[in-house]
Amino acid sequence: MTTERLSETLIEIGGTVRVEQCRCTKTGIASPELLANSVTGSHYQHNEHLVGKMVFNERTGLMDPSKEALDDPTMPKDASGATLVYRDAIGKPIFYGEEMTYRDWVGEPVWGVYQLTDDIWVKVAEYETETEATVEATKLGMK
Amino acid sequence: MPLIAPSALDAALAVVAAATHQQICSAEPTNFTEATSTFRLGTNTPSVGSAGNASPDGRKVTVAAVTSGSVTATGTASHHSLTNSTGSVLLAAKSLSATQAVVSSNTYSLTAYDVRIPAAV
Repeated sequence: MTTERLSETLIEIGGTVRVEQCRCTKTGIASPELLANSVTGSHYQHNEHLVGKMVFNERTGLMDPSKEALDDPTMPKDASGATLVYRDAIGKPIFYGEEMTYRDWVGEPVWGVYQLTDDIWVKVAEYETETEATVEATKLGMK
Repeated sequence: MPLIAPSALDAALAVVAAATHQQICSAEPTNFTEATSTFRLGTNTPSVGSAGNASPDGRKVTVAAVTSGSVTATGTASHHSLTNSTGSVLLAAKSLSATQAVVSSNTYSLTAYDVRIPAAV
């Protein structure tokens, strides 16, 4: 079984398992405190763009901002004139008072173990250290 | 006021500009594997301009609009990312202004956007 270091933070074991530094996923209720730079990082900080309610969009099957919010002329617009809605780590619009998902860019990075499944690298576990992750990944690669 | 020379910011942006691939993803990737496989729904070769002054401050590069990216998996795209396959590194990631359902083997488009490094404060 070959182990190849593809970068400083990426190791591939036997062609079927990878260990790579990553950021863990967390959830929380969107608030000014959670969106502070010291907590979630500046890329989630678009407070002036946060909007209110969401409604089910029958066309797309997704939850979208309400028409009322989208039609609000005071909302920031993109180049095409569409209302800008900032999104969390899984693509859901961020609304104050509602749950949001974020990557922990501020805390210490962790090490993810990924297994090649149907030609896609699927994360199967996270560990605090590279050593722990590599040991477990090696076991996985030997199965 | 502290100073970081524009040439230093440009050097960092040059790393971003060396991106070999751009992806659309079903979630926010945090590393190369996630951007290029775990969450990837499509890919294209990016065209990144040279560094210039940004607004309100700092320096930026502009990633050109995409008109015919290749959708490689069916899903709902919410983010896009830039990677460099030579160094196996994720360079940048950003949410889309709107999610978009995509179907494998179709094409996708993206508007141009800037990658900016603000000035020192």
